[in-house]
Amino acid sequence: MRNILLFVLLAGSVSFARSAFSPGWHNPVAFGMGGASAAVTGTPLGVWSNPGLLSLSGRSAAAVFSPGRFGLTELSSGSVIYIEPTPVVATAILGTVFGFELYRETTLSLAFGRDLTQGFHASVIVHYYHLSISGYGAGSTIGISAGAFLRLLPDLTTGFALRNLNRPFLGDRLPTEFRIGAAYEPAGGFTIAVDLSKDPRFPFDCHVGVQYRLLPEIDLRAGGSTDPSTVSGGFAARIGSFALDYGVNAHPALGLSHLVAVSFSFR
Amino acid sequence: MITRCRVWPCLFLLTWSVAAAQEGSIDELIPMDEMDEGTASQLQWILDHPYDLNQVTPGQLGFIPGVSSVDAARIVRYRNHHGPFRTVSELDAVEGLTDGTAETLRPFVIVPERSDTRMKAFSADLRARAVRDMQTRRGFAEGAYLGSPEKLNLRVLAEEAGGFAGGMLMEKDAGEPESLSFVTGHLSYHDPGNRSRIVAGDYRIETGQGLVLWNGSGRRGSDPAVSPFRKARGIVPHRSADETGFFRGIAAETQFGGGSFSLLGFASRRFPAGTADSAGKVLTVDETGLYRTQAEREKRGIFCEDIVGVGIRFVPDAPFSLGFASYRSAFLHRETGKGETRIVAGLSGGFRSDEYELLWEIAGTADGAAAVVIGTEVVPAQTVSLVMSYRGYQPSFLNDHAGGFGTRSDSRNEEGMHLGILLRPARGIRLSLGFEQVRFPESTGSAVVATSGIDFVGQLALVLTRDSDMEVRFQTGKREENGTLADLVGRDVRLLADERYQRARFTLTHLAMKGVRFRSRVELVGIPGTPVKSAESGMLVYQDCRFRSNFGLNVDARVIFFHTDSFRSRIYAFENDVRGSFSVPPLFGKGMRWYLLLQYEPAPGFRIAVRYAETWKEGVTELGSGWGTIKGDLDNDLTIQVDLSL
Repeated sequence: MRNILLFVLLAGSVSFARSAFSPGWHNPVAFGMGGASAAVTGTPLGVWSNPGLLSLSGRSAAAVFSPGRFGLTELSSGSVIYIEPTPVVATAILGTVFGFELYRETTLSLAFGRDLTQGFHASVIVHYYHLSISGYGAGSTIGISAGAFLRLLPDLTTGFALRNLNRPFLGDRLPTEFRIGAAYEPAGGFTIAVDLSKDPRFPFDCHVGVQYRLLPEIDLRAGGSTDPSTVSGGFAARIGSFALDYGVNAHPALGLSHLVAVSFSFR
Repeated sequence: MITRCRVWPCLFLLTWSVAAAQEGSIDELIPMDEMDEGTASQLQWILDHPYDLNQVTPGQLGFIPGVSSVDAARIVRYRNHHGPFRTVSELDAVEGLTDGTAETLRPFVIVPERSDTRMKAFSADLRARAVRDMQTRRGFAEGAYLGSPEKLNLRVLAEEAGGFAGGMLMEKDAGEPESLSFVTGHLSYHDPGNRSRIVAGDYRIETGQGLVLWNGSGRRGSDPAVSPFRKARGIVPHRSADETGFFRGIAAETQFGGGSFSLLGFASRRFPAGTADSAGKVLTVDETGLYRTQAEREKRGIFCEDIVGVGIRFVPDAPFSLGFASYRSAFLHRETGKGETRIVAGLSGGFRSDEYELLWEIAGTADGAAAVVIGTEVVPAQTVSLVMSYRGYQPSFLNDHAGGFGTRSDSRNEEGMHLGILLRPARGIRLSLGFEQVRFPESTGSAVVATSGIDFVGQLALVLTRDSDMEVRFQTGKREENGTLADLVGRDVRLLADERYQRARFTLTHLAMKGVRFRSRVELVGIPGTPVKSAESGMLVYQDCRFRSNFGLNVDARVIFFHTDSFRSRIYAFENDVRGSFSVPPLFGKGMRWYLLLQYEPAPGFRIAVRYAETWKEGVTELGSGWGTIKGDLDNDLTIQVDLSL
């Protein structure tokens, strides 16, 4: 019975919920900062929120795991990212899996980014979306996203991302989203970030987050968003080339969700 | 869908090789939000054909947004005292110019060298444009529109150094059956020696403050401190596709008395469209210029308007000026011969000192109605300027050819005060404040009784870094509107309620690299509830990208997301379009819009432009209304234009 309910929920999510093929569930940094991450640098995971951050990262790899949104193991997700900078462009390969045996979303993405001039980075990303619903078959489509990152002042950055610009169709339109954000670092180690995101189907969503470097190896994060109204928190711990990022988000009705990532930077 | 998005990677790849920005489009120089189409078109013309700094009049200079009457007078006075300008850079030497005025003017003026005169012995501009809706509108699907869905526009303009010029424009709107349903043209001769001009064909007339004659455009630009005063240019050849705002016949203007006197005369006959009752009485005069259905076509040419007029201007070598303008119009039904004759006359003038200019006009009709406007521009320091004006237009002041400053286009039934302040406290900071109070003594479209309203606009433009600037704009006000409310026993009661509104806009512009400019904007609108209408809100956010190459390719792209409760909380945003075209669509409901404009100049003077735009709305089954309704959630169109300058 529980599986049937979940099946109905997930099948409907392609049309009606923000979660379908959503990149927001693969970046624990954004997750811990209330979703405000379009202009937050310092982690390869930022590519999920804003592809424009790609060319700021060195060679790195990360794996992300969510044990289940809102405590439901059937809503678990996993993703991987590998970034390879080259003299011409930075490239990234991304993969995500979400769902369970009755409903499965799979995304493979290829991103290209470049530092066009000092402080200005731009990227495009091509997604291959595959949706499989048990008993109903499977389908796939292509989506295109783009992003940019600008350093306006030494302590002020801004970024924007456009997801699924081509409004791909997979049974229904997949979510198209515009995100614009700014991050300000008024003091060493303290960052405040604000994002505004818009999916044409839903009201504007405002995200606010802060990050504080408690120790050189430890970051603390907190934030919130308006639609839905959520609060979140998280931390990062770094040991050598490894980093562990954790984010938790509290939905007012559905409860807690957790996201964990392990990343490695090749020196 | 996948095919459609292929342009994005191409756009991205193009940014690898960028180069210097090329200016040539008016929207690259002047903020275009809230600019009207006629003004934009005229400014583009001036940009393409810059004024000779040694011939330009104060009125022509003052037409350029950001140039006050006081500054225009200072430039002309400098020329009179020091002799002709040798270079445009000499503007920097003009004493007392408000900060930024020389920079604003630079693209619009030239100082031709002698060698240029021979090179510009003859010039011609040819333009061909086609616009096509990609979706089928109801009018075409059901056969109500009699013509094809393409909109076509052809224009030829020619000018020779001796002062002769001519032009012709032909246009067909989508749905009109004729291949080119509107034709306008003119031949003109301009003698810069004694500043005389004669125009045969279609032309516009601008006199005084527009209370007697003004076929020109209204307020200019989004800056709240912009001057509300009209800068009359006399006779202006009609070059746009505006199908109603011009005269057809002959007009001449000359100066005598050492340039102190200017005399203008004109005669025109036109056949306006509209509707009349069975007795031939005028019911409506059509100003849409759209004749697509049988009903619309039956309105064409049912009236005849014969008009003659004169204008005299006395500008002595003294700080004051005086003008007089008058016309007599006979507006008759062509079949019944019934109609009315109207006479309008007015006096206008000004008084100018080094720091301020006072301008006024009073006009009246033969049946005793009057209109008056008076105001002043004060420039007490290079960093401060101030404009103030009062206007009072009686409800009975009926003048179809007026265009005085105000919220209404017909200069009647309105009384208002306008105050604007512009401050430049430091380099890179520009603060504009505007306050407007208006009263409508008789009923308007939104109310059946006298109403009033106030409006405040504040705008701060700030240069953040060498490559970045931002603008914050806030507007608030109220207007009285009628509504209906059910009383305790269910009867409809008509109420007059204050409808308040707030708008806030934040724009960030960043020159990311040479030739690549990004612009982000967030705009919010809020309308609190009233006893008769519910509260509404709306929001818009867009990301804009502009690319200018050194190999002739220019790209403009924008993605807009919007979400408003209804049309009432709609948001406008100016869009880049092909040259000579203008796009400021109202955005409302839930959806997104994007456009891509490619302009390529493979050889000097030859330009090809392609623009694709689409609006998609969430959760709707049809878009538009009436015969223009589209089934579905997508409204998209394609524009192709070719320009050739010889």
